[in-house]
Amino acid sequence: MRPARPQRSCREAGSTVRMRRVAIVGSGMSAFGARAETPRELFTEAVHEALGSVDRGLALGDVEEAWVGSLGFGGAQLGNLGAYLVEQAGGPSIPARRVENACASSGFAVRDAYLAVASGAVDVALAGGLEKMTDLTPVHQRYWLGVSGDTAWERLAGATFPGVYAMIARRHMHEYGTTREHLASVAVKNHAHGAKNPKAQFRREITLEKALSAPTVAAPLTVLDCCSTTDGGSAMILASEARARALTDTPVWIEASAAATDHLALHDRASLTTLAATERAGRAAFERAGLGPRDVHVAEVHDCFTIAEILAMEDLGFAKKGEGGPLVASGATRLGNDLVVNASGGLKAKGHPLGATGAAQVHELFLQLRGAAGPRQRAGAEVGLAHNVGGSGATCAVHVLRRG
Amino acid sequence: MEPAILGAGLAAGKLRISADEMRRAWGHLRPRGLATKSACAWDEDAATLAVEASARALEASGADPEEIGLVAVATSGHEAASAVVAEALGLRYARLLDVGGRRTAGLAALVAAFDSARAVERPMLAVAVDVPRAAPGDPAEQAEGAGAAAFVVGPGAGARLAAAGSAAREVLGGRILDAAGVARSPDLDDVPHGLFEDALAVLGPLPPIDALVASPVGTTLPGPGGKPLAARHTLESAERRLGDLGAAQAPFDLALALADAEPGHRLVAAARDAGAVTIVHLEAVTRAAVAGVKAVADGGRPASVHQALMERGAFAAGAAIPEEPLGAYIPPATYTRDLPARYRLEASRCGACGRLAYPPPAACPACGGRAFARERLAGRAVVETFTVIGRGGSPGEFAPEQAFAGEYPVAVVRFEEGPRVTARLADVETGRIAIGLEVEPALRRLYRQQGAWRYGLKFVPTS
Repeated sequence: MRPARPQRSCREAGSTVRMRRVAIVGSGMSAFGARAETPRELFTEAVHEALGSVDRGLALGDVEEAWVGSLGFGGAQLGNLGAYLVEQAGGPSIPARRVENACASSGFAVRDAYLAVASGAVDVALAGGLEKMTDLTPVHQRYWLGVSGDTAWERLAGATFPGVYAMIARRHMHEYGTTREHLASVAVKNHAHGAKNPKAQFRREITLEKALSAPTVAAPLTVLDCCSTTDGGSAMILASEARARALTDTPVWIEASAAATDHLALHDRASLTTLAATERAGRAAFERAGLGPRDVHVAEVHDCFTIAEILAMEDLGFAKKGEGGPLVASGATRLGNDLVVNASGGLKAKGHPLGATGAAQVHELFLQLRGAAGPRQRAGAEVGLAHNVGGSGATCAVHVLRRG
Repeated sequence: MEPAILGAGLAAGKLRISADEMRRAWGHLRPRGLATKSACAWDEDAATLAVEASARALEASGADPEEIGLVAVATSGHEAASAVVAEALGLRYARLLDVGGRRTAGLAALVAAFDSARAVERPMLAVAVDVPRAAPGDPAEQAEGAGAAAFVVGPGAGARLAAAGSAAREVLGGRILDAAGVARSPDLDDVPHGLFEDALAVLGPLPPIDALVASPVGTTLPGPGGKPLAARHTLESAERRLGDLGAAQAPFDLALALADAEPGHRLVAAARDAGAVTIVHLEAVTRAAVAGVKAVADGGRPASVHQALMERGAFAAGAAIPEEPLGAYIPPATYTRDLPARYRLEASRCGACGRLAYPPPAACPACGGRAFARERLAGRAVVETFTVIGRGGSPGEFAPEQAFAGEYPVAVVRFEEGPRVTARLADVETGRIAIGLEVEPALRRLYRQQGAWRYGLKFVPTS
């Protein structure tokens, strides 16, 4: 593993601008699941845990600016949601906004906060996310799910997100010989990991047989190939190097932040079996970090459906194209291996409160890189990668983190 | 130039209910001689059947869609399907005429097309379509079938209208629609005495005729010497296989007769309902091009009485599933702006780099150009991948459909011109779907919102 570079240029802002190092100094998340609390309570739970995790303490009033990822599921507080959640958490004077990129909303919130701190404009920033999905009736959920793909053509062709990923899976099976067992092995692994995560929505293991025989949602995907609808909040504190050193002895450095977008509709993309946004964001993130897939110890990848983790393995470079299924099925990405993928349980078992997911992935890396992940700790983890996808691959944010 | 029927097209509902199934469901079967009847699948209605038959007629005729001067659509109900037909086929300059309420309306629309084509030397389109309308449990429903016949009438060779005759009398209470808008077949006694004779007198003397069709089936016309009018060939009405097609019955059987007619043959078609009779006398100058005969005979999937009623949405339980938008929502105005692409596969050819894009983009995905020429895709496509959305898993817009019709397939299809689109597949068993399946578009109902059906293209296995 190559040593970290102390400073690097920021491509987004022009190669001549010197960017500051950015650390995560505190992080929190609510327990995920069907929660009785209100949206404001869930977000506040995450914010307060994040503040409390800062070694030498931090008050919300010390935060200079905030980015909150949310789809706005259900539409109750669709406007000014960022300001609402931050003021309800106790920070009415903090400049805040909602970041919306579907399921990648808070991955982009982390990125936007990172850019603000790296640029020198802000020293202490809050990034997080929130979604409350289970308060809606099933009838309403059917209208609010599937609003982030291409609505005019995909949705009105009756395609859901499980449907679009099922079509990707079908084509992947056709081109590369990926099997139902490969898909199911993702669910089995992530449920095994989720069983060790007290904040996961599903804290139980499942068998391959059970995953294979579950009811079909969108052929070839069964209900156990799909993540669930979940409530949850996530939040973290980002700080400049100087502030980070003052606030903690165990910062987690953001070595790279990268993002990419792509056509919303699967039918508009060059390939039906590759998420080009993942490829581009992953490549840029590794390049900026000066690292490669082999350097990663813990990866939180966007497994909204089992096929999505297989795609992530390939498109991030952990496996050759077509070999993602066999890689997962071999058990090589389970706890106990060099590379542990979705130690948190992933979206599959931890739950997927859309807007909260991206920051929650980074939260898991924060725990892992500080050695605080308990029974699901990847021993000696130093480098982590978070991969957050919006829609069926329209947006993607990738972060590479390193233990301080 | 004397106008003629240049081409005709047929279509029928995609469900087939056997006489045995009807006997099982009802305990009896009233219509005599019925072998099977047709009914609309969930995604069909009078408009989609009219489009299907019209597309076949237009192709058979070789007419230029933008030359069509009139679209006359006749039913026994009160749908205004002419606008959907015109949009779907690109009949951009046509006068729309919706003729409703009577069994005689189909032949009346055909005569109107001839009259228009005589006045202006352009092709005209006449369509007759009917679908089951009677309520569940109403014995009248037993007889009702779903079908459409369309004719392109214009200058050229085909079957010319030798004569047409009609007669009308007011019959109290004899309208063919009841209070609920349900078609009723009046008893023969409802036709006032002498009406046929009057209409035949207008028609003028008849030479020996080769084919005779009459609706309702079994109707006889008074002939010479007090005997019923007879023809050299006895035709079996499509009613035996498709059910009573109402306003479309006489036009449908006439199109079947035209398909069999030799040059020089004389054909007579008659329709009656309470207080109205219309009779046409055609001469097949050349062989007429009639499309869809085989597709109608071979197509359709077996269904139970119950399934057909569910797919028609005839049961009140459907009301429990909201049709109002509860989240994702595309306003009708936005939807309407896309209709050329949604109905007619209009793609965008970039004026700068020549790249063909569909669905139409705001800027060329290859070069960013914004000047486009509209270009219609041929519609030939191949399934690249697909899924089957399980019951209960659809977007909200399709929840009512899933409640009645269950799972449905969705595919990404690639057109032979290059672009791809995501679309529903129809008229195919899920077990038959495979990557590589060749498909073609068919206009169908997609979903209903705010009281209006939204139509679009699905893809069906290539015929």
